[in-house]
Amino acid sequence: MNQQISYDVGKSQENRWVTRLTGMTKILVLLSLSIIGMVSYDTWYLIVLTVFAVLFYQSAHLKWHQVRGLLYAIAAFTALNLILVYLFNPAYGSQVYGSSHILIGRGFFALTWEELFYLLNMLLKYVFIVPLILAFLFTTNPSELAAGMSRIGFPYKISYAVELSLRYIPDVIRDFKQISLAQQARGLEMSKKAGLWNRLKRSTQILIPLVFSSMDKIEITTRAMKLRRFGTKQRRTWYMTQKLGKIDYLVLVSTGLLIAVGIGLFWVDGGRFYNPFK
Amino acid sequence: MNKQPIIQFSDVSFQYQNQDAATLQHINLAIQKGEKVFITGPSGSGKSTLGNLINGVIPEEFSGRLTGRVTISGQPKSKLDLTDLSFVVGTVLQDPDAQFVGLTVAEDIAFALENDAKPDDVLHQKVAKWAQRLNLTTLLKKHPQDLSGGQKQRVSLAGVLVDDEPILLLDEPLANLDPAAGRDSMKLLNWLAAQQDLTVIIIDHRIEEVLQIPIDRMIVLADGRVVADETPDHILKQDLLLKHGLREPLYVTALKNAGVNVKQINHLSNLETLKLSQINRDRLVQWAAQQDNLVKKSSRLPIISLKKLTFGYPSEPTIFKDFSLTINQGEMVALVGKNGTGKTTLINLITGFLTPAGGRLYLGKNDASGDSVKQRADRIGYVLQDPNQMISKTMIYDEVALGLELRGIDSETTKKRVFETLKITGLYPYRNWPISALSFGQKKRVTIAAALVLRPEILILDEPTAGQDLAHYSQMMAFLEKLNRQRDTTVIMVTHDMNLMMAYADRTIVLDQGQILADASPAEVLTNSAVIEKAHLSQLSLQVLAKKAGLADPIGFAEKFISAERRHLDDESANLV
Amino acid sequence: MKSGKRTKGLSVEAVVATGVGIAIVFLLKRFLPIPTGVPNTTIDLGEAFIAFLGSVFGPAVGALVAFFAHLFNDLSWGDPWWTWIVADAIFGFFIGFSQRFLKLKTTPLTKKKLFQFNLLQVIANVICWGIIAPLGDILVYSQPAGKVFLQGITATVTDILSVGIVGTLLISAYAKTQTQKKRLTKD
Ligand SMILES: Nc1ncnc2c1ncn2[C@@H]1O[C@H](COP(=O)(O)OP(=O)(O)OP(=O)(O)O)[C@@H](O)[C@H]1O
Ligand SMILES: Nc1ncnc2c1ncn2[C@@H]1O[C@H](COP(=O)(O)OP(=O)(O)OP(=O)(O)O)[C@@H](O)[C@H]1O
Ligand SMILES: [Mg+2]
Ligand SMILES: [Mg+2]
Repeated sequence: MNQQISYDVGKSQENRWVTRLTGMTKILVLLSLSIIGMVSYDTWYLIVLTVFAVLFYQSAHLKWHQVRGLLYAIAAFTALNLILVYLFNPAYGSQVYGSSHILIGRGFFALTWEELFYLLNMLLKYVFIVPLILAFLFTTNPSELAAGMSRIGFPYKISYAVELSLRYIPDVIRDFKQISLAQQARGLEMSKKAGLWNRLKRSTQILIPLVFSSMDKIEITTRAMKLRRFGTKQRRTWYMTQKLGKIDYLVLVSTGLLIAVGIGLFWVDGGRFYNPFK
Repeated sequence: MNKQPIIQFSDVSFQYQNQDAATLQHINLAIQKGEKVFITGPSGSGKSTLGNLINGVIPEEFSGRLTGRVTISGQPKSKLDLTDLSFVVGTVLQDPDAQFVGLTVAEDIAFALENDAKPDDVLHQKVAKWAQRLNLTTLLKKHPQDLSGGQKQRVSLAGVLVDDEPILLLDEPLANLDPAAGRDSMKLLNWLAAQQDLTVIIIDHRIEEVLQIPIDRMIVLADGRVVADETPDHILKQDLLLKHGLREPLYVTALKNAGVNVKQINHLSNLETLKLSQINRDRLVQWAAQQDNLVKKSSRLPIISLKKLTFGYPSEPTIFKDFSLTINQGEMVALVGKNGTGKTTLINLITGFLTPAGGRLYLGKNDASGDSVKQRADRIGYVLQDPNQMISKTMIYDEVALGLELRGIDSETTKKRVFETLKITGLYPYRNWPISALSFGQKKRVTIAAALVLRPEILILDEPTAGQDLAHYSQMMAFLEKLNRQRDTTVIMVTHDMNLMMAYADRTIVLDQGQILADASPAEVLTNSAVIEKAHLSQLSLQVLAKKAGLADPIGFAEKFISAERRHLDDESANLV
Repeated sequence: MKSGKRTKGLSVEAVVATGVGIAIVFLLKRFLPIPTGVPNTTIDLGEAFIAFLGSVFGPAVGALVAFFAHLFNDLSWGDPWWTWIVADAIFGFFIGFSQRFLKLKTTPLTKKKLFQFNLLQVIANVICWGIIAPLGDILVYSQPAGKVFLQGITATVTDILSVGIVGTLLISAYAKTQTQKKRLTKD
């Protein structure tokens, strides 16, 4: 369907340090950064996080055509959100920072410096992690993910469910296309211009066989896994478990330091917000 | 022999919870260690159910009433659960796609060991060992989607063999494999059995193919009962298989038809070493001389024309480049070729399931290149390889009636035509069942019925006989042929079954890597050893037999045999309907 | 009937259902949103499928499928939005309780049960998209209330539609395959 779902790491990404990072490192970095970035409103800190994320992006050597579509979509999505934030409450920035320096206009829609600064922070929150995720998306071998998840403490059954989902994505895509075509061949109308109701009806007509075939798949796969003793022990090992390399330690330590700084800033700023207007 | 059997059934019956009658009835069996046992029987006779009793899937997964005594490795089964049994019995399921649970070949092979929490180095070492043994080393990083049918089969085997169970149970290991891959699979099993001292239990319909390796014992099930439990030689010498709607190896039938007393032939189940006396050779020669030649018709009115078609899957090399092909009205065409060579892809291009990058498609005189799937479907009926992708209703009747309803046919006519079609496909007794209670072969027949009921001008069937036994198969094929003769319906069959091709096709198209390797009568294809080799086909056992008899024209003999046989079967199924 | 060595946590069937479920829901969310005509508002068929899986396999599968499918979808766009991911997981968890009264595998589906299911889904949708998700955005991301409630209410309405129409149909279709009043006989 598109290239993000294709499995293998691209040619130009081989031998990059970001490709060599283990799955476990990537999950830890991604989780911790996205959580601290969600909470913190310290502008400088968010900028530092963005720079950190760009380092990964740099290493991945992605081609413009690989990321173009996604970047456009993110830009549109972010712009829409920022506009909504502004339209609904143009004075929100002033509320947050406790002052009001009008830049332009007056009345309800008066644009303040505070609002602008707040929107800048929002923007950073929307985009700071994008480069990192793009880099990981194109440099991670999916087989490492489950082993990595299990290693950082997820129960192995949940980790394996995630592995199975990656295993089944291509199958489901293929089934879905085949089912939809087989339904058309039976006489189901698929014109593009159908109304909402018809589209819903049509989707169900395709979803129902998908339900049957996936329930079948679940039943048979369960049997296949039981026959090979899945879930009979408290513990499980992973063929794809990887040894941490120097680069992993380096990245993990830097991330740890960044997180510590982020937490420290809550004290320095006296809260989540960095307020330049005081 | 007073060795303790490794598997023993004493008076075992099993009834699924939602069934009215017991599926297995009073089964008595004993399987010795190191035996190679072959279980066969008509579709729905309870073969898979029996297998599931051995590996513990019953009663863990399906509930029902189990009576009698099952002992495995000397222990009563009631003391063993699925997990205990999995150390004793390694199972390869009917559907290799579902069996494949790892993201890559290596992970899949390691799966059972990972579940046993074996340390890392053991995992890697064992995977490497088995990959090498089964010739999978170069495939370790591949994803299941990228493997051919035969490769998937080998991965499934490796995944089961890694933990050294003494018993190996395979449910339909040959389904969907091309003849060469099937033969390789069987040889591999034979080799493994000897190497690892395994007890092997094979469940399959394809008797001739399984008997390519020496089998110690054959168990024939019919309607949930054991009707034979003897050496293959013994069984082949009787008329037992045919009586239960199963196909015996064709050369055996040919010998019987020619009046050879098969009871006196040693090693009847092994064609390679079989010896014919002068008298018997003469009998075959005489018999052949008495038979008429097979008449096949020819037509020159194109109904499907592909002109310079080009296609490749996204980000993969092109499969078809400037591919042209014409199929004429009223032909019965067999499309053959090795696993993964593009047969299904070609069909999908004709039915509009895939869109070519270039080239045109004509249906009759009309350029149909721009037609939607639905428009094409008004003229082409298509039965997909995988029945689960077609079934959209819960009840058999509704599924078969769906196409007629969508085309606005009144309910009286619909009912009449649906019942008629259900009878032809042998599904009439099940018409009020939910599809979920059917065996694989039965499901496949539902999808064929759903296509037949529409009486299309062109019928395309991807592996129509997969999982079917002889009785249903010949009934269905007889009906297809009737459509073909009476209404001039064009039939295209994708198949790995050489006998089907020989018996029913007017024309064989051999596909190889997006090229037409041969386009000729089945007989010509089967006498061209270069094509056979390259496209992973196989000679008929009839040809081998004819050569042994010293006949000048082995394929002519095969043709004669098949046409005589078919007349016979057609008469029988005419009586059935 | 179930015997043998059980380990704590999910059953094997639940693990497989979660895996297959994540794959399907992710793809439905990613590639098959149905536009409603209102800009930037789509009907998410993934929610209908989450509701279906929850109703068959229970709260744990519902929650896990919703969580990971939503996370994967966000990641595939380059941007995880945790408050909504968590809200989705809570929705999957709530709707999974319908397993308790629907009992699709053992008892026939009645109008009353379908009504209960729809009552539950409306409540769950209102709580998750109308309250939890917007509150999360206000508390965690410090977004203005008006904006997040607008988004929350839109999501509530479209998801109620998706689960109410498509989810209900899926459950009814599945129920037909499960419970046979009479035993099967050939005739
Ligand atoms: N889960 C089930 N519930 C109810 N009945 C079942 C179930 N599975 C199989 N049966 C019934 O038991 C009978 C035997 O089925 P089984 O799958 O063992 O046949 P088979 O010999 O393996 O057939 P095939 O060659 O088509 O695979 C069939 O008539 C089928 O309808
Ligand atoms: N959706 C797809 N995307 C990418 N490659 C595909 C896809 N479907 C099939 N292929 C590849 O295209 C080739 C031809 O496949 P196809 O299914 O047409 O083979 P086939 O001749 O029908 O094989 P079989 O006898 O095993 O059914 C194979 O190498 C297969 O891996
Ligand atoms: Mg079977
Ligand atoms: Mg095929």
